[in-house]
Amino acid sequence: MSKTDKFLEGFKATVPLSLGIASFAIAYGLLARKASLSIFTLTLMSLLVFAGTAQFLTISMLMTGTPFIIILFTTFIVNSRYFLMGASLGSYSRKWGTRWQILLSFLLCDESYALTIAYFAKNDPNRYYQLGVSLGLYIEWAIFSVIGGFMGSFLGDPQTWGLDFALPATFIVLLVPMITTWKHVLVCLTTAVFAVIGLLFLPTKWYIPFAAVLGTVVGGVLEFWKRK
Amino acid sequence: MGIAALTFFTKFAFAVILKKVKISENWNKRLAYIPTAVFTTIIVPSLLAPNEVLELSVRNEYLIAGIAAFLVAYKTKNLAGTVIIGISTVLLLRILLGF
Repeated sequence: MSKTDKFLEGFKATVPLSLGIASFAIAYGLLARKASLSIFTLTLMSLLVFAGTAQFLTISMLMTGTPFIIILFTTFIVNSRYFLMGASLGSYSRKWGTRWQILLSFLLCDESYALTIAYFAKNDPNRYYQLGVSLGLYIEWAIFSVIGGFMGSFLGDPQTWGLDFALPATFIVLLVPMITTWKHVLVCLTTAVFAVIGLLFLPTKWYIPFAAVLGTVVGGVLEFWKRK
Repeated sequence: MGIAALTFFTKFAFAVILKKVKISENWNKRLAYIPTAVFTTIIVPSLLAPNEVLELSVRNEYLIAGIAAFLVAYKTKNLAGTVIIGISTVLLLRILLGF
């Protein structure tokens, strides 16, 4: 398959995700307007940051007048999952050279990670596929952020439309197909317990790195035991 | 700007660090648990504690819609369908039952 074919294959793979991304991006645009960001600023943020959860968090913290240093720190915590995602995709991308790594790292997001890692597990790991996925999501994220921003003035509160649930629903449909073995079920359940414990006993968003790392360790240990 | 730089750093750092290290097949298998763990970490608190406080109650519309979304996702693996059912469930619960 040619580079263009692979790119288009990746690009098309984002289509089923588009409703989730679009509603998520629109919700972001709406909220950003509510936090009195201009259309320009909220679009710039989508183009430069390109990390939905981090953008939502930043918006909500801006609304409550959180000091910048705390916003930065919380963003770092929430983004710490990209360390792990980068590590997992790094085993492929290290063959492709630094320029590709910079480009693909900048365009990395939860959804592009999920699509790419699922595809690479079953097919030839092709960088043009990942580029197609990433650019598709990036363009869509930017366009619908702007649309959401413009809609902000008409719709008012996104909660009235249930759009606030678009994010959890999107993550659920990304997670479920990954649960292919009983080991994944166990990782899911233990991670859920860790997350709740972390939520109850750790300050702010520390439960995110806490539960994600412990859950991954559980998976690693299960994998190790099975081999023995 | 700071947030953009930081996000890029976290996305990029490990991809580069690991460039120097050869990852074995066994480690790749272990890294495959990362997405499962990360997504669970994001989903579970968003359903159980939508307002940062644990709400294990039938009055928590996120929990109910989350269960519905899980069932639809499991049966269909369809994103659009899952999101629509999830959002509709939340809306219905809010409008009809005043959650």
